[in-house]
Order: sequence, then structure tokens, then C-alpha cells
Amino acid sequence: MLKRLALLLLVAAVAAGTIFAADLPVVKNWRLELGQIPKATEISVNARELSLVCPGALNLSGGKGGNKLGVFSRLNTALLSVNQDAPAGVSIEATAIETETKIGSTPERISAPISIAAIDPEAAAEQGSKLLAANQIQLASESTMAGLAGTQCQQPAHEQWLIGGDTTVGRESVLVLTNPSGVSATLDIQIFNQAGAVEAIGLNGFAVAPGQTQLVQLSSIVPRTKTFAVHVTGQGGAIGAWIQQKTVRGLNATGVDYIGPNPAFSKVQFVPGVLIRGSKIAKKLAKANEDYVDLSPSVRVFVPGEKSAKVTIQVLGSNAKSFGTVVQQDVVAGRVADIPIAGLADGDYVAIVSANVPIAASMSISRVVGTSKPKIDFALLAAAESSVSERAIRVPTSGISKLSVVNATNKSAAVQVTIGGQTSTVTLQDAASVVLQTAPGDLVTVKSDKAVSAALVIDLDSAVTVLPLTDYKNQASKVLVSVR
Amino acid sequence: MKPQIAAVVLAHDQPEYLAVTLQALANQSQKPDSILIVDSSVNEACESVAAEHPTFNYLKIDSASSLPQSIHEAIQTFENQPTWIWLLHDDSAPQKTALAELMATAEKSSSVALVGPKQLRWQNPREILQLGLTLAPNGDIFSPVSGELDQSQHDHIDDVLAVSTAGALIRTEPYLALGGLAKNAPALAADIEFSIRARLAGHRVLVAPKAKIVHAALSLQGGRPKRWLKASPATAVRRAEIHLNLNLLSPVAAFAYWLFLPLIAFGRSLLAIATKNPQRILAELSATVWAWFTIFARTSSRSGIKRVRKISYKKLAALRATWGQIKQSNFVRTESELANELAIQAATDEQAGEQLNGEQVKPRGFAASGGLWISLALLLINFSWWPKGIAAIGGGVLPLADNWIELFNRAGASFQQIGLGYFAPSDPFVWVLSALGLTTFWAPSLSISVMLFAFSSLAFASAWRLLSVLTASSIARNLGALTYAVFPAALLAHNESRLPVLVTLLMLPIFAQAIIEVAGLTARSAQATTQQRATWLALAGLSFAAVAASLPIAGALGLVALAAVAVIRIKRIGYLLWIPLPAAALFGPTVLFYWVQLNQPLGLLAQPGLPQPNSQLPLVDLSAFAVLPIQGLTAGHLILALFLLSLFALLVRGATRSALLAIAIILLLAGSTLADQIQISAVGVGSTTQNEQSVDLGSGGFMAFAGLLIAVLLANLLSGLTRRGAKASVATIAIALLAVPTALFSWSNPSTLTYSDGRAVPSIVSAEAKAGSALKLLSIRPSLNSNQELVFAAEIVNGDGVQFEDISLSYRFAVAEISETSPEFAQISQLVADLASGSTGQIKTALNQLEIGYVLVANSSLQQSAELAFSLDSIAELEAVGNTDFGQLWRVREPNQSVKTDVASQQASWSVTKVVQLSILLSFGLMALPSRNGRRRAEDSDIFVDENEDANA
Repeated sequence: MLKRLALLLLVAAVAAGTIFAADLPVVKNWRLELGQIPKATEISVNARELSLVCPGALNLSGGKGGNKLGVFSRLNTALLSVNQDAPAGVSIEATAIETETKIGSTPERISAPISIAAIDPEAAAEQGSKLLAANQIQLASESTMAGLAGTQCQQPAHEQWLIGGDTTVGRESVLVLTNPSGVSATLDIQIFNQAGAVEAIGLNGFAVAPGQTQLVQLSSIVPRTKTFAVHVTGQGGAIGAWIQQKTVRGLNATGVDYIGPNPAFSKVQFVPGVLIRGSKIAKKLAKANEDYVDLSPSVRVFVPGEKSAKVTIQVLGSNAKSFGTVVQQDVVAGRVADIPIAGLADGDYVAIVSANVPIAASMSISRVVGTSKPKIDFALLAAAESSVSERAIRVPTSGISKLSVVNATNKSAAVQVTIGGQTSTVTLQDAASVVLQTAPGDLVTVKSDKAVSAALVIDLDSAVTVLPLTDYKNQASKVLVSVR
Repeated sequence: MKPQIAAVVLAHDQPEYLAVTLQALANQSQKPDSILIVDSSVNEACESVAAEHPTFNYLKIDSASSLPQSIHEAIQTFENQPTWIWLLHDDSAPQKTALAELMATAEKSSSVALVGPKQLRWQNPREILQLGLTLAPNGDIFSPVSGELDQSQHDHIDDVLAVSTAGALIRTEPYLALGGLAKNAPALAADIEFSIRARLAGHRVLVAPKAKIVHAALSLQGGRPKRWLKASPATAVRRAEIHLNLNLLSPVAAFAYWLFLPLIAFGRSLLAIATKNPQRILAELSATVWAWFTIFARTSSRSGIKRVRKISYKKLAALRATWGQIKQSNFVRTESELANELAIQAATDEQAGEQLNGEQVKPRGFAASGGLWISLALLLINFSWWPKGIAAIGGGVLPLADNWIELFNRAGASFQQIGLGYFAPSDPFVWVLSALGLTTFWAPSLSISVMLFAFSSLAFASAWRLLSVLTASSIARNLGALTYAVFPAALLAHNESRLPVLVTLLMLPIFAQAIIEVAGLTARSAQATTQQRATWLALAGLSFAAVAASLPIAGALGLVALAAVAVIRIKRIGYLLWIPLPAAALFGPTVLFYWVQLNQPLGLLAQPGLPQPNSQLPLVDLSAFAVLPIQGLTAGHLILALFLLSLFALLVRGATRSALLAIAIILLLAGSTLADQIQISAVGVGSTTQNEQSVDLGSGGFMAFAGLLIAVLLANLLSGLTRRGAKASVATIAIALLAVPTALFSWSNPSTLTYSDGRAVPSIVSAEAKAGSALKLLSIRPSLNSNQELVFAAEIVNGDGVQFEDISLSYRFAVAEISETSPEFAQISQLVADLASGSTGQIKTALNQLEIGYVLVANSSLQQSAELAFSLDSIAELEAVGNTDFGQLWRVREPNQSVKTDVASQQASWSVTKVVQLSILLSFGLMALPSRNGRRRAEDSDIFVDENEDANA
């Protein structure tokens, strides 16, 4: 027994010794590395050529007579405004997408979609909207489509969120999908409405051939739906996507506009260019006829993800004469909500939509002129990107245009605005905004030391459209690659 | 006239034997007319012995004298030439009537030239050693009667082909006329060759069964100095056989025989392995070399034979052995050996039986002890691992090549078809994969799936088999084996499908048992025959190779264990030294490569296969029970608990052994902690699908040994406890510590493997590769490095994808340097950057030059993966194929056509090193196959049949 106890003690001693040794710093901190992890190589990559796609003239459903189901015809031409101050070595080339033919210098008016590219073989020029920017506007005055539709030409992408659309009676939403690439695009379309994601047939695997434009009547997917948002994702060629929205009240066409892609989801979205005119008449019309209720401004909010949002909308006046308002509403995750902004008098405003979770937002405003037989149009304002980078836009040669700029930070921002070669600096306090007059054909640039959002409001023949300023850019980058 | 008989005793440094022989000679019923002792000893002792017999003549000759020279000297000594010379060796003592009986036979005919006695074994005079000699059909020397008890059953024999000189009565006249024993003949061929020469000259060669001598056969037993035979006994025998063939065959046949001797030697070596006589190989080879280069000396006797020949050699065919006789003789010998062995087995079984309640307990077999049921229960617990397809994917496993030959081609290869081609020895683990794949050769990947399903059961059976040689207690065997099979570290390794660890866990008990058997550490194994020991040696060698190739750190620990056993059983070192041979063969080129080329000798210890980080899984998750102070039981907690329980083995019999085991376990556990502090680069083949940049060395090897030792210790404790209550308590605690966590762990952590048809790439890529395309696949995966920067990991993969055998450990150590120096790698980097940024760059040229046919973005949860896909979508040179099981795939629109249509140029799949490796493995494999004797023993063993089951029931 003694022997056994002695052995037990020996084992205990070895265990204690091992534990003691293991606890020594020299043992505890001992590390050995065998083999080397291959270092990732930093590769400089030139930026892709900057290229934009414009949708071309408005698409009139039902043909000229308006009574042919599923038939679209292009309505006249749109006015194209391009900033093409290309430096030496860079050329701007326009291509008719459908025919894949180069059309030399950019045309003044377009019917079919075109793509415009800044060809920079040496990749020497800094990309941005200063290098290339384009927008188009078109005034429609048909019996079935009337109003001013305007949009920025887009950088083709594989994913777009379009926050807007209405397919109730008298309203038409057409999804315009243009594939300017040489590769077929296979698209999946997701639609969210007030009740969440819409289950519908034919939303996936939507093919758009190279150089082709596909028009989708959204009423066939979400019939009689007042509030929705569209999410387009794709494989293959990158595409441009818009919703062409029009309204017909009775026998009167009362507005048309494009809804362009929203910037990335964010907890705060800025909508500059909320220039309210004819609000009293609109109110009267709405009171008299329910069909005119949507002339009142409203903000559409989509909440992605799984967490519902507490949304606060501040509509702030850009001058001392304009008094804004604040609205709060909860929006359930995965759903879209229209939040009416009541009580806004005529004036210049910006809307700041904030929430506790990232959201997307857009705004609808109307323009009503005349009392007996009022001319009605609406504008759909996608949120504008907030950035310190220099952004440029060519003011269309038609209409009266104003630039609306809002400070997207809570600090004072010194905003340098150049309009038609005249540069001025505006200091904007926290969330303050300013509206500046521009002349037709001016090149407008905005630069700031703090992030700002800006939009160009165009008023043509009592119709209105708003173009958010966008900085087009393909980043030249350093890419880390680890080959093994 | 009475014939004169002269007895000649050849003495050579064996005084004790000589004394007995001389005394026996003195006691003969019929005295020889004269007795001459011819002493070629180096020492004086034989002379002293001879001096004790003053009537015997004594002749001292040169110690270097050969047998023919000794006889010649003896004949020269006689003044009057005797009629008969009775030749006796110093180790051949005649019985009293031997000479009389020999003479009686000799007088039968005047043509008798030689009469041989019946030789009995010196150590056991009841056993016949030899009764005449003959040649087998292949020319081997064959003793037709040997190893049998002498019951006069062969006393009818008279004419034989040849007799040995020991105790032979030789008629002097023909001896001289025929030229005596050939001077150039090897020692063991001279007497047979002379006998045959006498036969060919028309003389008779007889045996006299009633004339008996006891013969120690010291020459063949290695009891004489080497100068006597000039080689080892085995070599001397083989030399004699070759010599006889070269002299007795026709000239053409003899030439062909000489020419093909190397081939014959190779074939006979294989046969030696198969018959568990590997010791003969060296003799075979050395005798062949000897004969090849002494061809003229070998054939010098041909002229002598030709001179005296009166009859054709073919006419002696009746005196030669037939294959049937040889088979019968071997059968009789085997039966005799088996009888001896069974007697030993019975005795040791009785010894191993345990005293329980005063009754002798017979060890129970696997089924009778309940092991089979436990094994089935373990299968049931692993039901979520049931193979739902051919190839398991996930954890540490990948599909193997869909063709076993392709898999085998990669084993031992010195060129790896990975990346852009890699010249280095393939991992020894590929041999393990090949062996594993061979079990389901029609679909090699299935073997892994099945093994994962049956792992716990197999580990249990393997450990049970080991414990069955250590203890006779059923409960000790079962609980010990269960401890090993569901050891916490084993459970985690299984859950994460760490194939190298699992293979080690399965092979380790086999290795341990084989070592025990080879070293003779148990009563039964100490009595094992040479052939049985050879079988275990081969099994030990193969299992050790499998362990070392799977987990080199376990191999290193195995070597330590082997060294410890060699110290304990120094006598067996001759066997033990051969055990690492297969592992050495597998690791030879690898060790050189790591040492010289990579300068990473410690890298040899790293675990092959897919790099996997250490498990963070709790064994039993208690987080749901918020009131408990601990979140869960870890593997460490349970290992500690099992160890502490097994420490009670120090309080029962065999405490010293238990203490040593306990100390070993402590050291192993400490070693496992240190192993976790060694980091190894994880970036290599297939790593684009993984996040890890580096992994721990891994404690699998240490844990496997620790698990086994704890299992043995626990079995020791259970078999050592004599009180029923104590035994029941320990068993209950052990079951609670094993069964509950195992069940909970298996329930909460089912298999996460996915199963496929064995493809490692999307089917379109696989189909194109099968059609002969050599186009490669560029696999890209965005990942975040330690600085949270986006890094695109990329690798070039062959058309058939990254399969398990493609995973190269050495590549992980080499890739850093390759990536810095290879221009192709730089080109790939630029290509990936261009693709990722959507820049047109030189994409088309790069795709063409790098022979890329497809681009795959491996599945990843990172948002950047989608962005990469968007970029690739916009590349005009690529065409989207779609989503696959392996990620998103793009096809190159215009791939390098010359490559696409060419059948991939295959590197030679054979090399000298591979041939050597395979030869050694096959040799060990052949030896490991149970012999007829071994098979019978296995069938008779209580594990597989349990002949006592019925009796006990």
C-alpha cells in the first residue's frame, strides 16, 4: 500500500510540476510560427471608363391612339444637356444603344436611349460629373401624357432601388430597363408595397438583351397599388433603370416624371429642391375631388432589413418666408409607406428624412397653375446624395431652373457654387439650405467642405421636374490580391 | 574379408558436443576398426576432449580447412585404406547401434556408395531432423522427413537422392574414384552434390532408418563461427541450392538459370514476404550476387559429373520430391507448430483468466461481452452521419478523385498538378487517402463518407481489440474501448471531420497492439512464432506509417513509444527496428524536401489535409440553463474528469505500470497545450474557400495518445478491482462521464456535412475536363485580412477542381516564396485586380496565357462578393454561367483553343521513390496478411467466433 501511495504522490508531483512549468511566463508566452503567409500584392487598377445611359424620349403606352394594349411608342424627343468639358486626351463619345452606332458629338435632342462615355485611354483624367454629366428633360403635351419629365442619365449598375410608383386608377408606372452593355442582362425584380414584399409571377430571370430597352407595365405586377418601391438586381450587363410615372385624371393628363435610383440606404436622407407652388389650389382640388389628393406633397419611405423604423421628416424652409413642418411616423420593416406632408405653403424647402435604421426616401410634389382649368404636373424627387466632392450639372437650355442646396451635416458648411462661370461661396448652417437662380445652359458646380446635397429644379411651361446632383465616378483603386 | 571401417570425427571448436559424440562413438555396439579425430579448431579445448579417449587417433589440421579438405586429410592419414569411412561431425552423436545398422544396410548391395542415418534432433531425440535429402522441383534442397515424432513410420525408406555427411557411411573406393567432395562447392552443397554424382555413376545412396544419430545441426542453427559456412546459414543454404542447379541442369537451362537469377531472386523475395519469412530476402539477394559473379567456380563441377555419369540425371526424377510431397510435408510441420502454439495459448489464457468470486473467468469475445451492441449503439448515435451521397464535403474533408487510379497516381508523386504546377513530393497522407479510397475503389470518396459514419464504432472495435490483449475483463475492455471511442477530443475531431486525426485514432490502437505482440509484452505474444511476429511487425509498420502520415506529431510520439519498448525489450530490437521502415520510406523524400528546399524541418510536424482552426465548441452547452455558474462543459473538463477517475488505477495491482501511464498522460496533455502555441500558415491549395490565414499545429496527436492511455488506465482500474461494489461504482461514474456528454453532444451537434456526387467543381467545368480540356479554373474569393482590408484571394485550379489529394502541406510552406518570385503569380494578381475592378486591362491576353477557361467566385457572405460578381458580369470576355454549388461561375468566351482541345499533358506518375515506397508498402502488406496458421488462429480467437460462447451461455 505504501508503494502505491508513493506512486500516487509521484504522479501528483509530476502533475504539479507540469502545471507550474506551464504557468511560467517563458512557457506561457512561447509562440512559434511556421511558414509564411503569402503577402497580398497591391495592384493599381485604372478606373473604368465613365459611361452614362440616358433613357431617351418618353414611352407612350397604347401607341399614338392610346388604346393598344402592351404597345409603346416613343413620344417625340427629349432635350439632352451634357457637360462635356473633357480635358486633353479625353474624348466624349455618344453611342446609339439600340443600333450600337457611334453618333459622334452628343446630340441636342434624343429619341432612343443613348450612352455617353468619356474615353480616356491613359486614364489620366479625374473622373466625376465635372468630366461627364448628362440629363434629359421632355415636356409632354399629349392627351394621355402631359407634364415635364426629367432625369439624370445614369451610370449603368447591377442594382437599383427605385422608390416611387403608383398604379391606381389613372396612374401608370412603366419600368424602363435599358441595357447599354454588350452582354445580356438577367434581372430579378422585387417589389415592396405597404404590406411588404409582393409575390408575383415573372419577376425573376427577366432578360434584357444587349443594347435593348425593356418596358414593364408595373400595373401588370402590382395592379391598383398606390405605394410601392422597386428593387432591380441583375447579372450580366449593367443596366439603367427608371420608373416613368404619369397621371391622368378623367380626360386630363396631369403630370409625368421619371423616378431615378435612390442613393444608398442611410439613416438620414436629404431631398433638396422641394419648391412648392400652387399649394392653395391643390388643396382646393383635393378637397373637391379625392382623385387630386396626391397633389399634396408626400414622402415615400422604404425600410429595408428586419427592424422597423421611427421616421422623422423635417421639411425646412430655405428662406425666412418658408415655414416648414415636422412629421413622425413608424414604418414597419420591409414595407413602403407614403407619409403626407400637410400644411406646406408655397415656398422653397428641403426635406430631411431621418430614422433609427437605414432607409430610402423620395418625395412627391406637385405644380398647379391656374384656377379654372388648372395645369397640373408633379415631380418625383429621389433623395440626393450627400457628398463633399465637386458635382456638376448642365442646366437645360429650356425653362427656368433653380439650384437647391442643403447642408447634410450638423456643422456649418462653406459651399462653393459656380453658376455659368460665376463662383460664389455660401455658408450654410446645420441643415440649412439655399436656392439659387441659374440661367439656361449654365454649367453649375457645387463643392463644399462639408457634405451637402443639391438638386436642380426645372420649371418649364408651368410644369416641373427636379434633378438631384450626382457625382459619377469609377474609382481608380488599389486592389489587394493574394494568389495561392 | 571383413570390411575395414574407419570412423572420422570432424571437430571444430565445439568441445561440449564433441565430448558427447566421442563418448557415443566409444559406446557403439559395433566398434569401428579405427577412430580418427580431425580437429580444425582454433582453440585447444577439442584437443583436450580428444585426449580423454587415448585409443582414438587425433589429427590437428588448419582451422581454415574445408570439409572436403578435412576428409582428404583424414584419408591420407590411414596407412591402409579402409573400406568404409564413417563420417561424424562433432555435433552428431550416434546411438549405440548406429554403426551396426549402417553396416547392415550397406551390405545389402555392393553398389552402395553412401548410407545415411536417421538424424534426430539433439534437443528432442524423439523428433526426426532428417532422413535423407532430395531436391524440390525448383532445385531447392528438401528434407522429406523433418519435424515429425519418430514412431518408426518412415523406417521403410531406403533409397534416397542424397544424404548429409553427418553420420554418413561412405565407401572409400567410389569416394576416391568419384573425386570426393567437390572443392568449389559451398559447404552445404558438397554432400548432396557428391551423393548425386555417386547416383549418376551408378551407385546407390541409402538411408538406414534404424541407424540413429542425434544431430545438433550447429551449422544451420548458426551455432558455428561464420568461417565454417562462409555466410549466414540461410545464405549458405541458398548458395548451395544455386550451386546445385547450375551444376545439375542442362547447359542451356543452367545458362538461362544464371541469366535470370536476379529475377528469380526478386520472385523468391516476394514469396518470402508472403510466407512471413522476410529474413530470407537478404540471403536470397546475397546468394544471387555471389552466384552471379562466381559463375565459373559454380560450374566447375560440371566436368566432374560429366566424367563419371553413367545414367541420365532425369532418371533420378523418382528420387526427387514432388510438389505434393512438399505440400504434405509443410502441412505436417504446420500442424505440429499449431499444436504447440495452441497449447501455449491455452496455458496463457488460463493465466490471463481472472479470479472473480473465486471462479475462473474465461475471457469473452467481442459479441459475448456486449462489445458488438455498444458498437451498434455508437453507429446509431452517429445516424446523422449516414452517407447521403458519395462524397462528403465540409469540415476537413473534400471529395477524392472519382477514379482510384488517379488518386493512386498522386501518392508518392514528385509533381503536383496544383496551381501552375508544383514540383515537390506529395504529402505522405496521400498514401493514406489512396489506401482508404481503395476500400471503395469504384467511388473512392465514398470510403471517407462511410468512415465518418462508422468512426466511433470502428474506434471502439479497434480499442477493444487492443484491450483484449491487456485484460480479460469484459467490463474493462468495453468501458476502456468506449472511453477511447468517445473521448472528448475524438468527438470534436469527428464533429469537425478532421480526417487525419480520425485516421490516427483508428490506427493507434492497432499500432499499440502490434507493438505489444512484436515485443512480446504479454505472455501469449512472448511465445509467438517467427511468422506470427512477422505478421504483427508488418501490421505495426503499416499502422505506424498511417499514423505518422496522418498526424506527423503522433508519428513522432509513436517513435518515442517504440524507443521505450525497445529499451524494455532490448532482445526484440531486431524486429522493432523494422517497424518505422514504411513510414521512413513515405517520409524520406518529404524530409529531404522540407529540410533542404523549404528549410522548414519543423513543418514536418504539421497536420496534412485542410487547415482547420481549433475547435471552440463546448462539449455540453449549458448556456440555456442560466442559473448554472458555467456556460458549458468543455472537452478539457471531461478529459480531466476521466483522467482523475482513471488515476484510481494506482491503487490496484499493476500500480507501477499505471503510474508510468499517468505520468505519460500528464506529459501528453502538457504537450497538447504547447502544440496549440505553434502557428502554421494555412494559405495554400483550396484556401480560397477558407478564412483562416494560419492555424494551430493541433493537439490531435497528443490527444489521441492521451485518450488511448486513459482508456488503458481505466481498463487497468476496472480489471484490477476485485470488489463488486467498487467495480460497479467506477463503471457507473465512467458511463456517466462518457455516455451523457456523448449523447448530448451528438444530439446538439449533428453532422453539418453536405454530400455530392464527388465533383469538386461545377458540373460544366467537370464535364469539360473529362472531355479532355486542360483549361483551368480561376477561383476568386473576397475576404478581409487582419486589418479589415479587402483582399481577393485567388488560385488557379485544374479542371477537376481541388480534391482532397490536391491539398499539399509543403505547398503551404512554399507558396509565400512562389508568390513573390513567380511571374505567373504576378500576372494572376493583375488579372484578378482587373476583373475585380471591371477594368478591361489586359484581361483577354492574361486569360489566354494562363489557360483559364472559367472564373469562379467562391461562396462568401461578404457583400464584396456580390460586387465582384457585378464586375465580372460587365467583363465582355466573360459570360455568366450562373450560380452553382461552389459559387458563381463565369465562362471565358474565347478560351485558349490550343489548350482546350489538347488532352492535358500528364506528368509521369511513377518515379524511383514511388516504386521504392510502393515496394515497401506492398511487402509489409503481404506480410501483414494472415498466414494459413494466422488465419486459423484468428478464427479460433474469442474475438471473432468465440467458441466458448455456447458453452458459457
